[in-house]
Amino acid sequence: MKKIIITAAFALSFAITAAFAVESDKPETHDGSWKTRHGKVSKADESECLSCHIDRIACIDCHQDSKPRDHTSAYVYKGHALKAQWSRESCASCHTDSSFCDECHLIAAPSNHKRGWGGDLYNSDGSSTGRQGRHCTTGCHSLVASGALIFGNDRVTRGCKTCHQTLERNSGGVHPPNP
Amino acid sequence: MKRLKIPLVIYMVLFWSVFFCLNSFALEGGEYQTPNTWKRHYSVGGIKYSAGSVAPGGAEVALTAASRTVYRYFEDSLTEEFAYLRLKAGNIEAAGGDIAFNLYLRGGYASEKFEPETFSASRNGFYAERKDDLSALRVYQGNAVFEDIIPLTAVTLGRQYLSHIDTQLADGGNIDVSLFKKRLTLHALYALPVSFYATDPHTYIYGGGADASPSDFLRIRAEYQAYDDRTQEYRNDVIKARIDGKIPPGNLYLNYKRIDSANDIQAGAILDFKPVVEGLGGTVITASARTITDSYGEEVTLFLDPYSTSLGQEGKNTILAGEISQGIREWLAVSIGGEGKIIAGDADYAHRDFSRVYASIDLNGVFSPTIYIKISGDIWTAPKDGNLKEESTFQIGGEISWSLGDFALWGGTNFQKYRYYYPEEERTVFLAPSLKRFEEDARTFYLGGEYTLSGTGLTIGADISVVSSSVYSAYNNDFNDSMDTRAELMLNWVL
Ligand code: HEC
Ligand code: HEC
Ligand code: HEC
Ligand code: HEC
Ligand code: HEC
Repeated sequence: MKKIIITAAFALSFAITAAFAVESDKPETHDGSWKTRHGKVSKADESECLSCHIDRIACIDCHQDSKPRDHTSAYVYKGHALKAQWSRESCASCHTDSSFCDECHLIAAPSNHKRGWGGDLYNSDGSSTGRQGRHCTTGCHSLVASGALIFGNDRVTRGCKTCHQTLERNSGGVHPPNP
Repeated sequence: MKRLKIPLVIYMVLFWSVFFCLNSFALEGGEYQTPNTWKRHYSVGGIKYSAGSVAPGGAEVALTAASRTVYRYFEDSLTEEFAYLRLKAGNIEAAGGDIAFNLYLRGGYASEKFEPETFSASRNGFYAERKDDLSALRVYQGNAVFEDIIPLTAVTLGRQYLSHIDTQLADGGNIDVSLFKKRLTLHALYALPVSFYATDPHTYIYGGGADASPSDFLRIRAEYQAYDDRTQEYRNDVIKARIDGKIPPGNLYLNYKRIDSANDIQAGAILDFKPVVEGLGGTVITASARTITDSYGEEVTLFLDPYSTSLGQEGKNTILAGEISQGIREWLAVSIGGEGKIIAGDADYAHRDFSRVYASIDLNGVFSPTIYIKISGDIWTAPKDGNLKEESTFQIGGEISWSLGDFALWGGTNFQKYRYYYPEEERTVFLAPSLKRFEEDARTFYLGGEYTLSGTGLTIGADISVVSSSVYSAYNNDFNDSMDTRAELMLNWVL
């Protein structure tokens, strides 16, 4: 009985789909690996692409409008930072807007910036302990204090600068709380 | 039940083997073209284009209205609504030439400000655009093109994608003059580049260039552009040149860019070979090498290098990349690609060696002639270098599209893993924090479909995606196991 049902299901799915031809209005070039190749091809003669992709509507859609599937919340949390550090070129095919990264970093603080991060450390009753907040041992300050010897490559401070950069861009200094 | 299992497996294998044979007939002469809705695997969005129709008098008119409603449920819930409008009127005869008007807008609206308490990563690009407001409007295009009103000249005024060697969205004017039966085009432009996320009306671009095709096999372009930042009081001079050779079986290119004193040189090839062995599919090979000879980023406008504040200067480096796609059978193709970045000088935060390897298998017309399946994997590694530790990401996934006449279905799944080091938050006895190794993962599932009401130009689509990840528990145990769910409804209407 089970076999019959399964056979029938398969046969039916085959029959349904066989009734429709593969419908693709795309040229031959648009195969499974077109995603990684199309950009390089378009550079040779973009007008060829735009004869079908009128007024770049499709290009805008993917490159600027709706984000790729891999851009999940886990990606915003860490993935984007890692990939950007290793290969900013891979972001640059789409993220050409001058202020995209910076404008978000100016308002979206990392998850570690919760209570007790800035200012002084607090006791559970809300009174100050007189000791500085956690950020102090996590980032810039401790590096300055240690002469940046342990992380000579700047791994940690540079991470803070990613967002706390406004001053740096203008005068070479970096200091919270003003990103 | 138990007894049935083994015979059932054999039975299914037999069934599919017959099926595979049948299908290779069905696809005779087929290629590896993906179905029309394949782009839904890259991103859910947007608008579909239409070529438009011809109005009385020979003018072309196109109108598209679309909307996308995104309901998101995570730590908090949020609805985002996007409305798209595209209007084009072309081929309007006037003063001996043609005029075209072009408008493309997106309005976005969020149901609330969305200020997640702890997990800031639930923010998105639209949040960065609208900031404290609930809505934001983007004008992607808003221009008028005057062709041949001045003989041999096309003038574009308004918001446009300046498309010369590179593309830049800007407000302003561009003039193209075509000579020698379009074998030579000269252009000049003056514009203000556009950002959707911040307003900076202080940088001006001006410049010009030439685009020559002395033969059908050769194209040579050269350009000069100045990015004049009037608040920072500096100007970046950019020189670009590009040579494209169309030499069968493919294209060769050489691309040069000079920003102030940094040279960025890229050479590459895209080769498309016909099958060498009967029964085998064609082969596509791409290869490129790029080198940046000097660091830049200081005193460079963000319009030229948007990453200099978040990532620091781009240092000297060389990037090699290559990919090969091989058709094996009419229903089977494989591709494998890789990329490597080799830096010069000392490695640091965002200047380090990196390599990437990816591979995929395409199954076209297996199970049913209208099913396209892709299975792929992708590994990125930044190796240990001095004080920098090895970090990597890895992903594996599958995508499937099924077209059924006016219906199309798509679905996919993806598993990602991130391995990295991040400073530990706890106070330590040492002055400097220690770096802790993290290993996080994220899984994604999505399923969607769309239906085109034939003859009406109306398409209705829906898509649901679910992300579950170990990172959600990192800063808030309350949503340890919760999932980031998005449901989208798409409507598109074209005239
Ligand atoms: C389905 C989504 C999608 C659409 C539609 C799309 N692109 Fe892309 N594009 C991508 C992705 C993804 C990449 C990055 C590819 C990679 O590096 O693997 C990219 C990269 C590029 C690049 C950079 C290539 C390089 O090597 O620097 C260019 C240029 C480009 N696309 C042009 C276009 C043009 C022109 C159009 C419209 C005709 C277009 N794209 C439409 C997704 C898309
Ligand atoms: C003969 C018409 C035609 C030409 C020429 C053409 N395309 Fe397409 N392209 C299509 C159609 C049809 C689709 C599928 C519908 C859609 O996504 O808008 C498509 C889809 C795409 C996609 C989405 C990804 C995918 O595989 O579906 C990309 C990216 C793309 N085209 C880039 C380009 C680029 C770059 C060029 C120029 C080198 C180009 N196209 C030339 C018709 C064309
Ligand atoms: C195929 C084009 C494409 C590529 C390649 C790409 N992005 Fe994106 N990304 C987008 C689009 C489109 C958006 C949505 C922008 C918006 O909503 O304004 C986006 C949004 C984002 C966001 C916000 C997330 C959200 O949920 O809206 C981040 C962060 C991001 N990208 C980082 C990166 C980084 C870092 C890279 C390189 C490793 C990268 N992207 C590569 C197209 C791309
Ligand atoms: C939607 C908002 C958003 C956008 C857009 C965005 N980021 Fe981020 N970025 C974040 C958040 C939030 C963090 C901190 C995540 C955490 O640790 O909790 C972050 C962290 C980073 C870090 C790591 C800093 C560190 O501590 O080491 C880098 C690097 C980075 N982003 C680069 C980029 C680049 C490059 C872009 C543009 C392509 C970009 N980001 C766009 C939100 C964003
Ligand atoms: C993803 C961007 C981003 C990164 C990376 C980042 N910050 Fe911040 N930081 C912010 C923002 C935005 C604020 C503004 C305050 C707020 O809204 O929480 C802030 C505020 C602060 C404050 C003041 C907080 C208070 O409670 O007064 C301190 C101190 C600080 N950051 C230190 C650091 C240090 C140290 C690092 C590196 C370990 C760092 N930040 C990395 C975005 C960032």
